[in-house]
Amino acid sequence: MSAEHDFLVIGSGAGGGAAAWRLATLGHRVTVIEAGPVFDPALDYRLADADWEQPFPKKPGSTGPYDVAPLQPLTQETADIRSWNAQNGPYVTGDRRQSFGYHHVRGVGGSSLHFTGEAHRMHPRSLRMASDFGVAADWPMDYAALEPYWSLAEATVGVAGPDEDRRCPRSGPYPQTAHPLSYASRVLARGVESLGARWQQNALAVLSSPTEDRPNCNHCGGCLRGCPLTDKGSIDVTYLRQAVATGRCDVLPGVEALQIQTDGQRVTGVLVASRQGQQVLTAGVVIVACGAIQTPRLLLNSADAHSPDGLCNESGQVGRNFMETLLTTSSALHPERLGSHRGLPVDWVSWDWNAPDAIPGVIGGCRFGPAMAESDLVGPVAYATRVVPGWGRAHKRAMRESFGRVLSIAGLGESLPHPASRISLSDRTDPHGLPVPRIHSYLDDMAIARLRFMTETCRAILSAAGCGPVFEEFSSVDAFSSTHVFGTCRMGRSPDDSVTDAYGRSHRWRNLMIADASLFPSSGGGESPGLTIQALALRGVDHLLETP
Amino acid sequence: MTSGKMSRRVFTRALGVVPVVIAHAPQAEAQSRILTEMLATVVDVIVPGDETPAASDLGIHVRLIDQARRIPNYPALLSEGLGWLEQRARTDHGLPFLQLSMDRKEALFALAFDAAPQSLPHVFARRVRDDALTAYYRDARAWGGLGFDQPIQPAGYPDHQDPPA
Repeated sequence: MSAEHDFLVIGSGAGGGAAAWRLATLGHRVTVIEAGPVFDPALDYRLADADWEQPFPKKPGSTGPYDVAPLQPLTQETADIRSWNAQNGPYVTGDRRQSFGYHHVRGVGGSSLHFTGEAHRMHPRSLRMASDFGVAADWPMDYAALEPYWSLAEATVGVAGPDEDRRCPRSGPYPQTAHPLSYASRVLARGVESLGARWQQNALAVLSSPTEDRPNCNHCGGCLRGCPLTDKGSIDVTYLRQAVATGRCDVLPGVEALQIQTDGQRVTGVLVASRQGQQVLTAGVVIVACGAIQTPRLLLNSADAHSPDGLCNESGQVGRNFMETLLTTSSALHPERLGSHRGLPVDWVSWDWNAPDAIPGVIGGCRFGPAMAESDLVGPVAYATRVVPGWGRAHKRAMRESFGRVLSIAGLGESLPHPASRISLSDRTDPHGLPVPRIHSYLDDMAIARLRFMTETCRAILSAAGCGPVFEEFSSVDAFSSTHVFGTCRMGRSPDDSVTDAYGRSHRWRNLMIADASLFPSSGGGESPGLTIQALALRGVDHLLETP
Repeated sequence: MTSGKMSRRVFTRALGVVPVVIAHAPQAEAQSRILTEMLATVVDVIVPGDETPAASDLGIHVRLIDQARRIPNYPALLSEGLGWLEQRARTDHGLPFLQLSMDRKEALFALAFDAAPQSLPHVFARRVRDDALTAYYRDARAWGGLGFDQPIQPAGYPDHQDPPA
């Protein structure tokens, strides 16, 4: 491993991959270090095997360490919106909110490897939460400043989207034609229409037409288990593949950043660990893209005489403002056979409640969409253990009568900063002796009101679609279960209350840039963050090159 | 959801409810054979044969035993749970479990399944039911009649826009 680098990117997910691509395609040499392993789509995503109904594969080192601080007590007021299954009872049996985990992939491509491909822009008004609603913080740029970078990201990963996007202004059409809805999704969409709401085809980084090096999707619905065809625009088969093809980008898996080093004036390099042991990689510029859990951990673990409270933490905001995935799902059987195990996981979306003031009496929006795949209700094992009760001949008959009839709907909502939600360093250490990150999560009354609206709307949509009684629900109200995490190195205009400037560069350490969702001042109303992370990284690199 | 290690707290509480005596075979090999036969019978109660195979025809009981070896406390749960069925068979019907009619085997399994939460018979029946169904439906030979006859790749669902055939 070479010891000297012009641009050193830590992390190869949405932000790190996009930053490396921008640098390499503009003629710069860049090295990406990734703590996790490489996943080979053809070998590792075994969706052609009989036992395909498995979660995303795990490999040595493919998850990062963390722990979760004790969560808040549950109250009687949320008893009717908690997580449960008709067969198995409540998912949370204790008297406190329970952790179901921070769901991520540590590997080349990051958590894009297990995402559904959703490629969303932010609602323009969700960038002004402090000015307009007195919560969170404003983004230090407006929608127009990000628009060209969202467009560039959409073109690079190959986003298929609708002809008309009612929510977000666009400078041009989506690069690819939107995917058609599955038969079951159309039935579910009629439920939304019955409530007087609208839906539109989802914007997905999933190819509807083949490109030079990637085929079109065949709608197997297995995106969350890894895409063996590579039609899904995960970072490894898009940005990183193209960056490496320039001959100017090296991607080094199995190399973990332990501490970022400085000389008091500038960042000078990164202490890393690999199978070869520990060494310091010097770098002209360091780009940190480890996600909203591990990035603050790396900065806090990099405290030294020059930065006794942690690197980039002059404002005291590193680790603060943690925002999580606020999710509810409801599932029920439809009376007709729908073949609901077929098709893309989230082929439509209803944005009607996405604006920050769209939910009556609540600040912060949400959105709804199909969730058969995200609820993992698309295979016979799930039906046998979670849908069909009992056993014996009756169970077998019911399996044949029920399979393909489940409809599931999800709501994802805004998560706002709260002083009790943050990332700190744990007392527990990793094999290198460094503290692991500790997640503190707290839901305030507004978050619970938002979750209640989401659950009640999910139930109403299922009922309007003609479903029978709900048999399963899952909710963040009693379960911390996050895929999207945000906000722990907030960007802003002032060094007093933010970690970086509007381009992700540390206010103090100008050759350190952050490129992940830790930058988000607010989470948006349920948008998937991947595309915006890419846009911020692309914009940050351009600024870095223009203003070294 | 059922593949993780068993909670020691739940398991020890379950053991405390019903004292169990495993079969009267004097030697370990014979005892192992009886346990295997009993588990084969139990998985067939859960998934009997009809136009698709019974669970034991697919070797589900053998897979469960293999799986149990990798999960702390699971071998003991299988042994004690099967012991509970044997004890109830002898108490209620004066016969070893394996010599009961299928109706009576099913009734005893139902008794275990409906026992108090956290009790040994309930924890045993619930766990074996979920794991047997999981292993069974991970086998393509189990999929007949579901309207689902092959893994989701390589073909995908080119018909996903249409009503199911």
